[in-house]
Amino acid sequence: MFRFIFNRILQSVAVIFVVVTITFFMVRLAPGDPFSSERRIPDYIQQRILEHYGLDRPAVEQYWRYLQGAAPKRFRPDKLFTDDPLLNAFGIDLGPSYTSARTVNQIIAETFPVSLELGAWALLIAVLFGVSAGMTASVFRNTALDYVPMSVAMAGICLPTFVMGPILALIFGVWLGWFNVSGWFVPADRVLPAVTLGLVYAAVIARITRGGMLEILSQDFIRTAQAKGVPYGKIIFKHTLRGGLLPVVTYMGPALAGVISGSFVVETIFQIPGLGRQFVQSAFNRDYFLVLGTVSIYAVLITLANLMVDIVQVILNPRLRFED
Amino acid sequence: MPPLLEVRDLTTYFHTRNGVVRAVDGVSFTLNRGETLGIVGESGSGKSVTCYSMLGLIPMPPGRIEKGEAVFDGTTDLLNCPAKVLQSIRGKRISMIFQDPMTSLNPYLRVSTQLMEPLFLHEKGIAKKEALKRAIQALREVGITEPERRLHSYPHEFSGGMRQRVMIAMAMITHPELLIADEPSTALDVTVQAQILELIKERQRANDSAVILITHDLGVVAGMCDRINVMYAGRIVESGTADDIFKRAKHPYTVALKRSIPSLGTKGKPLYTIPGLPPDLSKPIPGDAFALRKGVRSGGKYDHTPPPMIQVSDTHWVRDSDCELPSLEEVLDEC
Repeated sequence: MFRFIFNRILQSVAVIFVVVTITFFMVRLAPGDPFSSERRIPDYIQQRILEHYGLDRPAVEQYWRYLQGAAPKRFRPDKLFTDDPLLNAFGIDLGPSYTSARTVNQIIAETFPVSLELGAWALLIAVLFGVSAGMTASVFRNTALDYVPMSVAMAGICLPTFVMGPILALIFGVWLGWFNVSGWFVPADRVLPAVTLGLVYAAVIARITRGGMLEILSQDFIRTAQAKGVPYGKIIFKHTLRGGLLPVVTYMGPALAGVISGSFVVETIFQIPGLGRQFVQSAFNRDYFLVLGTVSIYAVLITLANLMVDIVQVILNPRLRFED
Repeated sequence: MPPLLEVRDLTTYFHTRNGVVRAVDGVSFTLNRGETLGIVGESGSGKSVTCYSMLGLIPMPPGRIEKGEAVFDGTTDLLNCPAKVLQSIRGKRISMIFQDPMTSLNPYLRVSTQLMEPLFLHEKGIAKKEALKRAIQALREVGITEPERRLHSYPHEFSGGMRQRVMIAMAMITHPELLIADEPSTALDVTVQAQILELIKERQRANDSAVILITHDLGVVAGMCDRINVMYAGRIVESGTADDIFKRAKHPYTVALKRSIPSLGTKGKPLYTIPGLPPDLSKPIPGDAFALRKGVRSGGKYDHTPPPMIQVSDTHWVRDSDCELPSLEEVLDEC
C-alpha cells in the first residue's frame, strides 16, 4: 500500500513537471507578449522592460530560470500559517505578474482559497444530492421516485452553468430576495454559486449512482444475502452501497477537474474573486507567469484528487488490494 | 408429525414483454425430515424457479406466484406468509447454496462478516466472541484448514471449490432443517464436484437436515437422493425413489435422460442425445409438453388435454404419455 502511494506520488510529480513544461512553451508560442496590448511605447523602453523580466533571453534559459524559482527548495512549517503566501513555506517562487503589482504567489494566496471553498461546497452539494437521488432511484426503480429524479437529473446535465446561474440569481436573488445576486462577503453568498456549480455534477453523480447500485443489485451475491434473511435496508447499505459507489468515486477525479475549470464561469456570473477568473484573464493578457502559476496549482490539485480517488478505491474494493 | 415441506400446485409465471412465461406450472411434492430430494431436469425446466418461489427469491415483477401453497413444518405457508415471517425462516430454518460460488459471495465483505451475518440476524443477542467461535467451527467443519487465519480473508482469496465450502458453512451455521442446493457442483472442477457433494451429504447427516438438490446431472442424484422429481417444461413428469427412477422409469423423458448418461453407454458407441429443445414456455401448452419436442413421436392422445399423474407403486408416480423416443440411428441422422 505504501509502495503504491509512493509510486503514485512520483508519477504525479512527473505529470506536473510535464504540464508545466508544455504550458511554458505553449504560452510563448501564442502570438503577442505580455505588453503588446498596452499603449505603444518607445522601443528602448520596451527593450528595458523585456530585459527587466528576462524576456529577451532564449526561451530555454527562461524555462530553466523559471524551474529554479518554482521548484520547492525547503520546508518551513513555521511559515505555513502566517500572513505570507503558503507557497513561501516551501521556497516556491512563481515569479512576478506582468499586469499586476503583485507576485503570482500573492495572487494565488488571495484567490485560490476562495475557489477552493467554492469548489468544496459545490462538490459537497453534488455528492450529497447526487448519491441520495441515485440511491432513491435505484431502490424504487421504475416508479415515480425513479423517473422524477432521473428526469430532473437529465435536465440538469443539459443545462449549462451560464444558463443555470442567472436563472437561480433571478429567482432566489431578485424575486425572492433570499440571497445576494452577486458578491462573496457573507456566508449566504456561497449558496447560489455553489448550487449552480454543483448541480450539473449532482445530476451526473445521480445517474452514475443509480447505474452502479442497479448493477450490484443484479449480482448473485445479493440473492445470497436475501436467502440468508438479510432485511432489505441492510442489503442496500451493507451489501450494495460499497460496490455501487465505486463508479462515483472514479468519477470524482474528472468531477473535481470539471468543477475547477467550470468555476471560471460561475466566478464571473457571481463576481467572486477566485482563481478561475485570474486564470482566464491571465491567458488573455499573456501574463506568462500567472498562467503558469495557475496551471501548476490546478495540476497539483487534480493529480492530488486522482491520487485520493485511487486510494479510496483500493480501500473500498478489496480485490484491488495488493498481496504483501 | 407433518412432513417438513408440503408443496401443492405451485405455479409461478413471469409476465414479460413477450408474453407470460409459465416457468412452473402446478408442481406438488412433499419432503420429510432428513430426507434428500433431487429435482432433475434440463435448463429452463423450472427446477430452480420452484425453489426460489418458496423462498421469495423470485424477482417481482416480472415474476408472480399465481397459486399454490408450500406448507413448511405443518404451520407456515411460505408462499402466503408475511414478508417478515419468511425473512425469519430464510437463512435460519431453510438455507440455500447456489450454483456459482465465484459470484455468490459478496466480494466487498470479509468472509467472517458474511459467515456471521446469519447468526447476528437470526440468533439475536449473540455475543461477537461466540459468533466468531461458531464461524471458525463452521469453517473447520467444511474442511478449510487454518480457519482462524482464513476467516478474515476476502472471497477472492479463495478458490472456487473453497468458496463453495464457505457457502456451505454459511448455509449450515444456523443448523437449518432444510438445505436447498441449486446445482452446487455444476460450476466446479470434476474432482472438486465429488468432494462438495460428499461434504453436503456429511453436513446433512451431522445436522439431521433435509436437502433439496437441484441438478441437471442424473449421475449426481443417483448417489445422493432418497427421492427424485424429474421436471420437464415446468411440470413434474415422474416422481419416485432412486430405484424407481433408475430401474423402473416409465416416462419417455426420464428414459431418454437415463440413456444420455455417458457412463452407462458402451465404449465406442455414439452417445444418445435427446434431439430438439424444450418447448417455448411463453405459449400455453394444453397437452403433453414432451410430445411437442422435435423427433418425439406422439400418438396424439394428449394433444389437447393435460396428461394425468398415474400411480405406479406406493412411491412411484408418473405422468401419462404416449410419446415414443426416436432411436439412436434416427437421432444420428438428425445430426
